[in-house]
Amino acid sequence: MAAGDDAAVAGIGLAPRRARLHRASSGQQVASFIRRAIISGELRTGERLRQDDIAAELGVSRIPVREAIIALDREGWVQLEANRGAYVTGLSEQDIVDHYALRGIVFGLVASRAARAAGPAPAKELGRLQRGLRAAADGAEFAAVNDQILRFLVTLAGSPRLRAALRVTPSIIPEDFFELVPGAREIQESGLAAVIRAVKAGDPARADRTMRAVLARHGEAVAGAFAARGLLTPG
Amino acid sequence: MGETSADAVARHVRQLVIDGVLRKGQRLPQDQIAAAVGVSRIPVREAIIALEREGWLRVEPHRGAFVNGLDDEAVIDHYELHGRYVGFAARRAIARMSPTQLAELDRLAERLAGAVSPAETERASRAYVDGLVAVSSSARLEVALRSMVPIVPANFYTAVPDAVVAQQRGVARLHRAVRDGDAEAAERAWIATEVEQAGRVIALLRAHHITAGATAS
Repeated sequence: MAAGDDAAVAGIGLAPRRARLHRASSGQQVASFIRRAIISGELRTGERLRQDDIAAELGVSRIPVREAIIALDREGWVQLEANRGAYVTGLSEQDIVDHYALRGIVFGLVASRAARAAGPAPAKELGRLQRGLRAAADGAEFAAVNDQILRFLVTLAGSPRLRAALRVTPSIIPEDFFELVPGAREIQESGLAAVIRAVKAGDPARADRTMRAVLARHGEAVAGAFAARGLLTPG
Repeated sequence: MGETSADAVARHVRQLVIDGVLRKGQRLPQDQIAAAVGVSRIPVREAIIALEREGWLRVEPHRGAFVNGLDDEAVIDHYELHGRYVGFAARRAIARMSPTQLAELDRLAERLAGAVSPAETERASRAYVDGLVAVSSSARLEVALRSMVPIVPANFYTAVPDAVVAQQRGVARLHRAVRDGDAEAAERAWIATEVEQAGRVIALLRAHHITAGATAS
């Protein structure tokens, strides 16, 4: 894949290639810290984020904190109000389910386009990547190989419009997803196996359906995980 | 968040391409566009970056930005995705709507059924879909739809009479399924309608030599 693809896939909710080998940017690390604080209950719904305190605690300047808040506002974790600062919004069950259903629609189309573009060379690469997924030693490695597979499918699909659509719906839990959500690894491994089978078979409808199903299951798992921790807001 | 100047420029350029005013291979007249939209060159440059990423333009260093021409894939992708989003809206609407909201959708459907002019068809069809999206009450869906760039040639319903009938039929099927509470049928009916219309848009664009056909240069 050309270097330009990194720029193209960054921002669609997949970790940029470099992040696998090096640390995530300061902004991403701050965002991860805030997300975990919300998930653990340390930061409560409705609470105002004290940006200077966060910066001091993490030993960074206000700039990455600001970047993190903008990203979290787009993902739906916080609401940034012009003169009032950032507040923890909390996600509703409907919000979470909708998010994964919409991601499923776009990724489903990506999978169906990839199935149409399938041939012997992509099939071989998908097989190789799938083996890497099964052999992943821990959550971080699993996430990295998972990213590679999704990135490969996006490239196979070859649609600038679908890429753009993915950028608009960034992931709710971009990092540590497979560590934070119980059962997510199993859902993804078996789900992607089904998607890859459909892509190799050149069956666009089945690729679409199976990909949507994977994301719907993730939606249920995330909603369940949030509910179990008492994190869901009503509505 | 309101539309930025760059957004306005991008929207303007896309419509010029869709309407065939800017032809495939043509160099983008940046100053003219800046003047037409009433902005400086800076938002025009930002728009060019975004439009290149979306596939509408090709930038050649030191030479300028050139129009790619729509390819069939781009049109199909757009309508397939939009169709699925509206199908999702139907699913949510079925689950969440009140009798009052359903009555409003009935009214909007009737308005489209009674439309006599192409312009009225376009307005009434848009009103129905907007109404359905509103009833679905999904903030995330609204974000996703807002980001979608419409690809509808300005003269679509005027130039393609079949499109008027197809749209009326499609919305009627969609609405019937919504009334019946059948989300699967609603989604199927609407995606089929959008794909059918995509075919007509492609034919229209080809007839005006706007698209590059199946293989974009």
